[in-house]
Amino acid sequence: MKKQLTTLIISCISIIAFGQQVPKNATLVIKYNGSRFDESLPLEKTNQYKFIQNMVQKEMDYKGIFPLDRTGIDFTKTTLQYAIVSDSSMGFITEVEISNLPDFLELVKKNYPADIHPTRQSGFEYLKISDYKYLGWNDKTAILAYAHSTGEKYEYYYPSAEVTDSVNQVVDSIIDARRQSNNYIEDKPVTEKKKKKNDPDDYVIAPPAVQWDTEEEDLRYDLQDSINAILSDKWYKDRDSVKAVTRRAQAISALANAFDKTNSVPVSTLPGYNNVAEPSAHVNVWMNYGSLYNQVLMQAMSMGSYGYYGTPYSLSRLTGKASAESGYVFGFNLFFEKEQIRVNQLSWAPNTDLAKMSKKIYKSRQSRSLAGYINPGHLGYLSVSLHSESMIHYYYKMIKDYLNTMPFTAEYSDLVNLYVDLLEISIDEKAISELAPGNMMFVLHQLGSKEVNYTTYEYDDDFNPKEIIKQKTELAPDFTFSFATKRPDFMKKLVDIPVKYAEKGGYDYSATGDYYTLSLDEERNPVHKLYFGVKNDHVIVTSSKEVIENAFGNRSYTLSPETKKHVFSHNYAGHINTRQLLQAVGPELSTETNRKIRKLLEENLGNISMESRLKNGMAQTSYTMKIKGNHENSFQFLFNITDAIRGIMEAEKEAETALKIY
Amino acid sequence: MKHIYTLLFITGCLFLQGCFEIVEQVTMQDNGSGSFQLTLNLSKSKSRVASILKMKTINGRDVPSETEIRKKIADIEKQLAATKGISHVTATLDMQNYIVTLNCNFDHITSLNNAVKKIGETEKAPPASVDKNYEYNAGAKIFARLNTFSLKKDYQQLSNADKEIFHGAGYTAIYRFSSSVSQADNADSKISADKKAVMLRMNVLDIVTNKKSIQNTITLTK
Repeated sequence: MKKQLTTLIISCISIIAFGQQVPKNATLVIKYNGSRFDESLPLEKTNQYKFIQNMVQKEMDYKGIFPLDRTGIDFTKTTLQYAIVSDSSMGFITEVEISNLPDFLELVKKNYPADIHPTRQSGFEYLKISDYKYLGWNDKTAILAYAHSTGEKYEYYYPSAEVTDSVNQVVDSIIDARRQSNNYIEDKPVTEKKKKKNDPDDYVIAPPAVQWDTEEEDLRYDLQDSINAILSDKWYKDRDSVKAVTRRAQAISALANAFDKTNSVPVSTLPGYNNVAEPSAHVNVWMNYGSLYNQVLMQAMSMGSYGYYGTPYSLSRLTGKASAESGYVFGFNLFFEKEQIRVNQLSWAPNTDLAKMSKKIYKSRQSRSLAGYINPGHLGYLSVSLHSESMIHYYYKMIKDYLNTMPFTAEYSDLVNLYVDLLEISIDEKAISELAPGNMMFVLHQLGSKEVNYTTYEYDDDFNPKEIIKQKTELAPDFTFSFATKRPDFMKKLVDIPVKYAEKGGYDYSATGDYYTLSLDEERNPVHKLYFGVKNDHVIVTSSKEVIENAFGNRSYTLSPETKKHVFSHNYAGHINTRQLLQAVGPELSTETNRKIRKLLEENLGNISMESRLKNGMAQTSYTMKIKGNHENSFQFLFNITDAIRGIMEAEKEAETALKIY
Repeated sequence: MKHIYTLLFITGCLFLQGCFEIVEQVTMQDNGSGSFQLTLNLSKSKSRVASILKMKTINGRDVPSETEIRKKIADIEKQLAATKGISHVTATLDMQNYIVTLNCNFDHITSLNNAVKKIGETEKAPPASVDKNYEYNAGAKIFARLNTFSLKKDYQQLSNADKEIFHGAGYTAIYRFSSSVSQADNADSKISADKKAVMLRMNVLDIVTNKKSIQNTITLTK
């Protein structure tokens, strides 16, 4: 009894928290948390932004300032979007709540021609917006349905043999009539003149056996073309009207299902939804990767003349494969926080084998020697530490899953699995993982500069050109890529072997002490030299002499506590120092507008980072962009920046116009 | 001017930021014959061009290989040579500095116009629609560089990345004559010290956005 009560309470909370219903076969659900958006930027405040005003004026044909809160749509409530794919159709539905029906109808009226009138249906009214889009509403909800018939193929008109014969008969009869009316005498074929043996004229190519009446032939072709054009036009019109009826039926059915919620379930009951969707996010995206992938793939296979058999590949043939059990469920949660925009991505595997595999892949930690390449003042880095052997095992499963869901190969899954097993036996994953255990590091140390020569011309007083060499400064990236190895002996051979063949290969690669140097043409390459080396447990490729010498002199950079934590606590860790990067690319920007935008971003954009690790049995990845400047929160930051960029671009346009008038 | 467009795309030097130079030189004899030289100099962007040429596509556009570029230049050379009234055609391609130069002689200004139009037609480039780029009236001793087209629409349809290539790019036109120049009506043009040449230097961006015109009517002393 206690257990039942707990279940009931949990169910009630779930329904309150995620009360919206979606079809149970939905593969993608996007939920916009209206109240969170309203907290971040109240709707009435959006009217202060020029780009919103322009958008409203342009899109909604409103003169003057039109408040978004007069659309009749309740933006403080949840908006839902979901994708559904079936054997015969593919749909994308958007559901919004209506707060004021007259305002909403006014909005609809302003956007669509007056001669298009809504149609009443049980429980809602609808309007056809385009062949594929229908808008439906009742006094509480508005639903925009995009429905596409998946059985539609790209068909072309090919007249049958019977039709071709009939056309020819008609043409013949017209030509006969013409002959009779013109008292026409048929030309006799011109027979080839007999020539004497060894007559030099023998070598002249003989004229055609029959002298064609070209005028009549032209007429014949013209008539055939005209009749075929009429038939083809009718065929396409008939085909389009049949398609239009099908599309309409599918769109209305999608609308009806969305309104009456037949076959719908609360979003919270979708597989893994509660595991991957975070209720406090502004936006939640739930994606059943396994079924979405399979369904979209099947539709792609079915479409077009070149589709398999040219007929829809039935999803029912994949029953049991295209389910949530076959892959991951992904959740993307978008947060507009006070000082940062954050996306939290979670992946959940209902299949316990898959969950175990994830755990093994993520059982790795970045090595100190690789982390030691991150210099203070770097522009960015990407640190990866995964268990490569487990990853290879995961690929076998992935290949099997993929082939087991593909048309044709799915029907031979036992054979396919046998082949993949054979592949697994023949590949020595352990040896591969010894070569590259799965730890790597890429660091963009800085964007330096270099002087390069270029050819241009100068002219004397009589405008005679003279070729001259000038110099210009170009960006030169300073970077390091390094990966761990347990087979330094093999890697040393690998980096040494090009020395022997350098002369033959026409490249400049030589051993320079402990490491190797590849010299490149500075004029034609962003980097002048690349250094290669194998140091204890890792391989290094760098454009920085300082870095390679540090490595072989047993020196490494000292990491800041934040970087240390970032790199060593995550399997993936990425970081971009936005300010320094923008400053570095500054001299490359040619226009005043670009320079102003760069300055704006430099003042308002904070650093960007990414990190991923296994938490609560799920792979969790976060992407964060910090903000600076005077913004109440990161959502308002987006609006402020968009408006400011618009202002800069408008100013440029105005300046251009003024210049033109002047 | 429109053939510049073609050459730019041929050489695959898209998405560069304002680092190319176009030099157009026409030497006119009093009898209406003359020589023509067009230079496209991408030397200032050579490291970027070298990087782009290593790619297969950039921004959805195919990047031609060095062989394809050489073939294209050779094709243009052949077409020019096959045009009536055009002789001594040479084309050079410096792949170290990425400089392309086309040279030819013409017996009459109409032959030069025909040659430019022909290349435009083959390359399906805008010059196909332009009959005349140059005019020369031997009797009145007036030479004209015409500007009967607009690239503004084409420019506006380009993506921002594509537009960047025009920023800071330069155009130079030099017209030489046997007789002295008495007047050149384009306010941006200059007459040489010996009065035998006229030079016009502009930003390519100003030309493609119609802010400035390359049109120039040059009157020679009789």
